[in-house]
Parts: sequence; structure tokens; C-alpha cells
Amino acid sequence: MKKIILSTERCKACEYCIHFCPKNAIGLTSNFNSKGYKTIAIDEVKCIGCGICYTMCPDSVIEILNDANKGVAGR
Amino acid sequence: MTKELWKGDYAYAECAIRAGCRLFAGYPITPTTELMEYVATHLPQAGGHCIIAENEANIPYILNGAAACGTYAFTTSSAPGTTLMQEGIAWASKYDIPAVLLHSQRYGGATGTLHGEGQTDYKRDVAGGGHGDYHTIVFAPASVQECVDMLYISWELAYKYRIWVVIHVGRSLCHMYEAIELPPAKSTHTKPEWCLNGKYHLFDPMCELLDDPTAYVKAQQERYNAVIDNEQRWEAGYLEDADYVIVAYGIPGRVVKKAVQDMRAAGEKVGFIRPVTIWPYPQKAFDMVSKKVKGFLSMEINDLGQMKKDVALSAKLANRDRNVLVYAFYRGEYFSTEEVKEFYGRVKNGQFEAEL
Amino acid sequence: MAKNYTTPTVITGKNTYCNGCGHSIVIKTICQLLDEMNLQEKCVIVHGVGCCTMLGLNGIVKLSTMHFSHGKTMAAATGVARCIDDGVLVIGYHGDGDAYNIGFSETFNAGYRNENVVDIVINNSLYGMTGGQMSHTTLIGEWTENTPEGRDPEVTGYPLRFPEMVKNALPHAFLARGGVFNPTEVRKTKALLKHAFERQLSRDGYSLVEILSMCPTNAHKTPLEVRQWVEDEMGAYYKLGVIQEGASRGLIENF
Repeated sequence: MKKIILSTERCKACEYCIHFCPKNAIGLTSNFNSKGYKTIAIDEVKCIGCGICYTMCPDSVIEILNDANKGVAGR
Repeated sequence: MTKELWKGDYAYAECAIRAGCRLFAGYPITPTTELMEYVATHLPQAGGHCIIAENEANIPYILNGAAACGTYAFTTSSAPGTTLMQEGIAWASKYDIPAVLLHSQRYGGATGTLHGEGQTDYKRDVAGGGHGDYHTIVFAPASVQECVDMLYISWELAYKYRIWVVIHVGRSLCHMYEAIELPPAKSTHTKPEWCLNGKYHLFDPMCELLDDPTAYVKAQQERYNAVIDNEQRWEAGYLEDADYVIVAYGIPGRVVKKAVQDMRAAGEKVGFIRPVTIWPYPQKAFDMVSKKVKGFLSMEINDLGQMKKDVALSAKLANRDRNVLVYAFYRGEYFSTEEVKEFYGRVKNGQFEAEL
Repeated sequence: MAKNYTTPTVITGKNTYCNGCGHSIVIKTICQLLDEMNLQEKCVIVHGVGCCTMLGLNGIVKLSTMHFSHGKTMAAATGVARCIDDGVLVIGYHGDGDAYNIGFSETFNAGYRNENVVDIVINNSLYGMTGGQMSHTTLIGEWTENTPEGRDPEVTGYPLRFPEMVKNALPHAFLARGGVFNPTEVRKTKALLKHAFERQLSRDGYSLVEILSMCPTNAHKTPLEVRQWVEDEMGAYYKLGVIQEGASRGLIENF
């Protein structure tokens, strides 16, 4: 079972994750974090847990637990 | 203990190895080249690193990297080379990194000359040629033996206060031979807990500054005040009843000492102070001078007079209630004991104007 | 078995880099490797001056870091590499200006002596922290703050390909170039870095991994625009991949 944890406070809306997601599962919301950036959200149904967004994210916003039983909590 | 005949450069190299130095970085430059040559042969045998660096500007950074790991690090150079090193020494002061430089100054700027002696880098070594608020301990020995003795304790002092130590000599002390006793080899020192070892720890006082500027500034002031209180060194004589005291450091200091001894034997009420540290300047010696002293004579080998201001300041601090005059003699070559006596005579007879 | 993608343990979550900055991706990748190779407590990063300064000063990573003046990164890394305990990874981390302009002598000589360090050069084609001035790796015709007409090679010289320049001239352990402008390159770069780390731990000498990186702020572009530019323009001039796999330590016959 897949679990996605987002630390949206870290997000700076660079949009790398959005651009590279092979399933167009990521988008910018209209929520601002305290830094003043709009933050991302991930559609868990479309997401296949490939980790490309995680690879590209400069700010460690995204964590994906594909095997949720062995996960570490979001930090 | 038996004395052995050693050339200065070789003695200092051997002394450094015995003191526990295990990384040296150097560049060939007269008159310290032989020191590096000795190190290149002997330090690897002792398990240390001798790095033949590409230029002097990089050398303090190599030393800083090594010293950050708790290794005793050493370099040596002469005037134009040490000028290139100033940034690295100043930078180290911000990160509390301790290392040792033996600086053999020349006479004059640019390439300078080495046929005589020079004290033209006094102000640079004492003030420090880099940016920022910092000091280094500066030793000014007057013999090969004294230089060996100062160098041997330099790393202990550097690590105690976490600042660089500079040994300030001239070409004579590098090239002359002297019968000396070398100290014994020390066993390895314990690496301090602040040194790099791969584990995370904050090795960056800048971060401390950003978090708590007051505490950082206070720590800096306390550190340097401790050095000033504890590490002044000098040789002096005949101060208690002196009318005049002659101040000179290094080999000229020995000339002055002999001249003063001769004049005392002839009944003159004159004393001498030979600073062995020029930073911290030996204020305590000046404090021991008779409170009825009439004046101080400053003697040095350079063209514009560099130490004279420190003599004047120390004279003022030791005699707050009156203005004690300072007579300054400076010239770009050695002076003899006869010339010291002649200078003293002119001062005493009112024929030499007090500059400060 | 399903893989979990979690934040590296030594990333603190505080990050003062600009949005879309390539530094952040590289730093994160290094931290992933440190976790995988169990080196979080066996690593010293000596970093330079510029945007790389923030690595140590701004609490971005919980690692042993040290920084010295501009250009002197590899001189200090030399001292650390000689004296640090065995098994500790020593990394020099700096930008193209720190490595190839002001620090050319230091970078070159660390390689010349084959010091046991990994030299990571973040190449974004300009001086970032000071506002985007020309560096040795600025492309021909590229606009920067002090080449407002575009870089003219007749006046300023041609962009420098440093790993290629030293290849075959000096004995190194490993020379490579990666990039962080798309996920495939990020993963390849991670493999290059891992190989460099392994070579250093085997005491094989000097490795250089140059990494093409994005600076949206000084390119005056959005992150997505500049990453395309890095991929197309910088990628055309600066070839990616392994540039030289060097020998293990030891005397090289007939050098």
C-alpha cells in the first residue's frame, strides 16, 4: 500500500516534480505556505510511486512509502 | 647535556619534528629553503607529511585543513612569501585554527635584500596583515637556542589559545651556526575534541556569531586578554634605578644588552629591555622600570621606525601621570655597541630630539 | 520489493537556496549516498565561498563541514585529506568560479598531487552569489551581468572544459561530468558520485565530478526554463559521462 507524505512548508514551487511526473499526478494548489510559495499536491490514485518527483525535488518535500509498513515518518 | 653545532634552519626543522609537527607545507625561498629541505628528508621518516606547495598563498589553507584535524602543522617563508600567507592566517583566526609560521624577514620591500639584517616587517607581523580583528603570538628570538626553545612550545601555545604563532626572525638566525641543546622528542599529543573526525559538529564560529553575537565577541576578547596576561616574554636588566632604558629586539637586542652592560660598568644609570614576544608586547617589563625614568630609547633596523610607537605606548601605560619621552633610532643596517653608546650619550646630553 | 523514498537522515529540512537551484539537488543526492554507504558520521565536506557557503553555514545538512576563502577549497581539502582518520570521506564542494577561476591553482594542484579527495564542482556557468557574473564556464554568447552583449571569446577566452583539460595530463582516480537538469541525469550523477566516493575510500587518489546545474535567479528564468537551457545549451558544450577512469594508486609506468 502506497503512502505519500508531503512537507509542503519546504516547497518552493519550482515545478520540477510537476514537469517530470510521468502520470501528470502532481499539480500546484492555491495554498500558500509560510514562505509565500504555492504548494504542490499529488493525486494518490494516479501516482505509481516511481520516485521521479523525489529524485528531482531540491527541497525534500516528497516522501513516498511504497511499502508503508517499513516507512519512516515524514520529517 | 652536550651541545651540538647546528645551522639555524636545520635546528628549527629538527626541533619542529621533535615538538610533534606532522605536516609541513613549504615553498623554496631564501633563507628558509634549507629548513624545508631538512623537513623533506626527515619528516616522512617520522610519519609526517611534507607537501611541496605550489605557492605560498595556498600554504596556510593546507595547514588550516591539517590543523583542523588536530595535526601540528608548520610552515616557513620569507618576506614576500609571508605576505602571500596573510589571508590564510587571518582566515584561520576566525575558525580558531592553530598552526605555526616561522617568518624570516628581509630588509626592505619587494624582493628585499638579505646581505644584512632587517626588521622591516615588525609592524606587519605584530598587526597582522590580514583582514579582521585578530592577533597571533609573535616571538622574536635573538639566538638559535632561543628560537629553538620558542618553537618547541609554539604548538602547545597555539592549541591552548587556538591562534597562530609566528616566529619572527631574520636571515642571520636561519643561516648561522650555533652550539645548542635540542629538546627531546615529544610523544604524540592528544587530539582535541573540537577537531574534525567525520562526525557532525559545529566548527564554525560564524554560526555562533549569528546566534549570539555578544557571547562570541566576549569570548574573543577574553581569549586575547588571556594571551596578553600570560604570554609576555622578555629579557631585561638594570631597570630599578635606570634613568634611561634602551629597547631593541632580536639580534640588535643582544648588541644593546652588551652596550648597556659596558655602560653600567662605567657607572651609567641605564637599563635595557629585549622583547622576546613582540605580540603581546612585554608591558610587564616596562612596568618594572623605575618610576623616575627619564626616557626610553628605541632601536631597530628599518628606515621609518616601526617599533618606536609600541615603545612609546608602553612607556605611557607604565607612567600614566607624566609624559615620558621616547627617543627613536632606526637605520637600515646593523649598529654596533659603540653606536648604541653614542646614541645614548647624545640623548643624555640633550643632543637628540625625542620623537615620541 | 517496493522501494521507499524518504528524506535523507542528515537533511535538516531547512534550505536557504533559491527555488529550483541545482545545489539543493546535488546536496540531497550526496546525503542519499551517505545514508546508503553509512558514512553520515564519516564525512567531512570542505566547501568554498559563494552559494556553496550556505551548505555549511545555514544548517542545511547535519554533517561535518568547514569553509575557507574563495578558491582555497581544495588546498584546505588537501590538508584535511592528509590528516583525517582513515575511512573518512573527504569532499571538496565548490562552484565553477571557486574551482576554475580564483581556485584554479588549488584545484589543479590537488589533482596534480593526486590527493585523496573527491572534488565536486557545481557548474552553473556563472558566479551566483554575487549576482551572475561571467566565470570560466560561461558559454559563448551567454548574457551575464558583466557580459551584457553576450560572452565574446575573442576578448574573454573560451569556456573552460577542465576535466578534459587535465585528462591524460595528470594521474587521477576518476574524472566525470554529470548534471541535475532531469531525473535520468540526476540518477546517473548519483552513480558517478558513488563511484568517486568508493575510489576515494580505496585511497586511489583524486576524483573530480563536475555537475551541470541550474541557477534560475541569475539566468532570470523560471526553474523549468533554465533547466531546459542547461540540458540543451550547456549539455551541448559540456559532455556528460565518465571522462577518465584512472589507475589505482601506484607508480604509473611510462607516464
